[in-house]
Amino acid sequence: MRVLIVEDDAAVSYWIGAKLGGSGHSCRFAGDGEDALRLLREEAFDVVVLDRMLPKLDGMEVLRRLQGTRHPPVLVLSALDETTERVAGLRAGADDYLGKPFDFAELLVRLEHLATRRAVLAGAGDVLEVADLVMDVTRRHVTRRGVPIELTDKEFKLLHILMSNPGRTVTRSMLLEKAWGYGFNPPTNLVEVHVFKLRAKIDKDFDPPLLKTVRAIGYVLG
Amino acid sequence: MAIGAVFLVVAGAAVLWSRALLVELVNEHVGDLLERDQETHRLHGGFGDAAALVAELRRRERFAPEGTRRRMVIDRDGRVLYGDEAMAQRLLAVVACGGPAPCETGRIDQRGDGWKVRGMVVRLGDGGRYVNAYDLQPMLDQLRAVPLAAGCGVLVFLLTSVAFGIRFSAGTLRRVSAITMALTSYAAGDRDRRVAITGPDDEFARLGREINRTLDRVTRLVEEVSSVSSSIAHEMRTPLTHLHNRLVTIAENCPDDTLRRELEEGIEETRRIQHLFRAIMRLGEIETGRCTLAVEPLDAKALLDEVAESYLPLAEGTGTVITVAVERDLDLRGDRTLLFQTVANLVDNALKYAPGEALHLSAGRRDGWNEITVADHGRGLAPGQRALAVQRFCRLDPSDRVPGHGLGLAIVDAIARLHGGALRLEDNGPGLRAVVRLERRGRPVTAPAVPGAITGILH
Repeated sequence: MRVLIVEDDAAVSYWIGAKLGGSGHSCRFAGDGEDALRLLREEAFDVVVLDRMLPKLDGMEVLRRLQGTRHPPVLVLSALDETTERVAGLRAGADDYLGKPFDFAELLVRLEHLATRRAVLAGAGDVLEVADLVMDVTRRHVTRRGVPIELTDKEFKLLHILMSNPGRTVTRSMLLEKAWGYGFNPPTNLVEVHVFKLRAKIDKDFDPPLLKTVRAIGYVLG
Repeated sequence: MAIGAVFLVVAGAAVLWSRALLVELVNEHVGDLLERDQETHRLHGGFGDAAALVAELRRRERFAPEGTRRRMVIDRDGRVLYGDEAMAQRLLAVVACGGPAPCETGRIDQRGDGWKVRGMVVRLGDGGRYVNAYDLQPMLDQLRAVPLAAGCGVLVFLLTSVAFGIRFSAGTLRRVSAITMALTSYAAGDRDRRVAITGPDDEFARLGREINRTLDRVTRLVEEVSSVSSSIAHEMRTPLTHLHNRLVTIAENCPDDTLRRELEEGIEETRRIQHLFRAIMRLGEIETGRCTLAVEPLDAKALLDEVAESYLPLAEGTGTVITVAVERDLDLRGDRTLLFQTVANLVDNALKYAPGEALHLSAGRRDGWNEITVADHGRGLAPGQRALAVQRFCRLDPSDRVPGHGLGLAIVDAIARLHGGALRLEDNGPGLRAVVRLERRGRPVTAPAVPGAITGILH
């Protein structure tokens, strides 16, 4: 994965670059908005990490200038983490939004999802299958090894997200945003509680277990 | 209608009063005339006997026509020697001697059908009577139009005053209404709204200008606060990011398991600080009206069911049974994300403070408001604690037994206020009943509607 990191804080920028490099990805750096637009014109990237508060052109202006052009998916990484700011960033054309401070693993998972988004879209259908777990999305019906599994609406939604991304980590915050919507900030970690119940239903009486926990980050199915 | 009736009564009273005044005036005038006549007679040698007086009167008749004056001379036998025969017949009973009527000198005041006489009877030296009287009726008839004119004048004056009053009041009310609407819109989040200054340069124009100046100042302050908040967020989050990243890097390379666990605890702490930051910023967004308020019709049952389902695993864990009841045809309006957060915070609290007790979620109408209620059967709150519970960072259980940061109810209250309502904490006998009161029609949408869930990166 080739990543453009647009960040004026050199320490953050260096840290992300080093971690991405350690995960086998290559990075280019831009310290301001103008530099970012120039690099996007000149080189090809799989995904962009964009800070909001930048010298010369801020992140929102960069997003506005990218609108209507062919550009790689953009993840905004910003200390401006209010719901309004997130919504504003997504409206301006960002494909994802992550607040600071962040877990690198969370960032990496989101970047990988962004870089391969088209493939995921192509794979999604009315019937999803992961090993012997089958979900009929239209009929809202789930079976494992032919045995029907009763799920609540939230469990179904969470499983749907996980089955749409088989073998790939989905973070807890991604599950929260997709199953409950942006702007919901639960006092208790509801995702963990629901995944715990979901796991009991799809894995308890079957072997091998399909739903695995990625420590401190999220979950992966299959 | 009522004011019209009052005006008619006032005009009628003016007619009656002015008529009474005129009658009084005419009476006084006639009284004066009578006095003067008598004085004149005295100056000319008194009244003498009846025959001499008749001669005198006939002599004067040539110079001064009688007009409304009615004079009579009656001899001692009651015969009319001089004067209006018709009038004499009317007054004879009064002025004739020998009968029950007085014969002495004195005033007479008689009225009949279409006539009214006021006069004076003078006893003559030979026993006759001289009657000097004035018929008031022709005088009153001549003045009849005056009370009517006065009444009409009063009525016209009152109606004109009302017309001017209405015109002035309507203009004033319009301008007050414009100020009210501008302030309401501003309070609902429309920071560009100002009072339109129209009409003459009077007190209202000056008030409007002062309000606009105040709103400009408030807007500037809010922007400054907002910018300070953003700066604080940036300034605090950046070092927090560095701290977090450094801890992660150290933990990854730490060969000592015990130390790594400690470091991971530290990393978790930075996450908790981040969560607290997010809650503080969310509260700030809502309290200042900076958050996007997307008011839309909501299915109250679906909303409460989704919260109940979201907390079902936790409820089952504590043995709590959650029930939901929604009034039929409830027209609930509001921002779905914010109201979901509201009910979730209240349910979260109830599960923490009243675990294992029945929990009832309901929505309905009351006193012209919509209300969402979360009622538990736990220990509840003492009346003195209820106001405190809504304050930010207030934790009524200071021990760490119940997790949280003391912002849940403050956020609920801020969301309710943003929807034109308020949060009320009541005794549920036993337990706590949290009632979120919301404006029936919902606040006007002051920003473009935001979809409930924005398409993220997954499918």
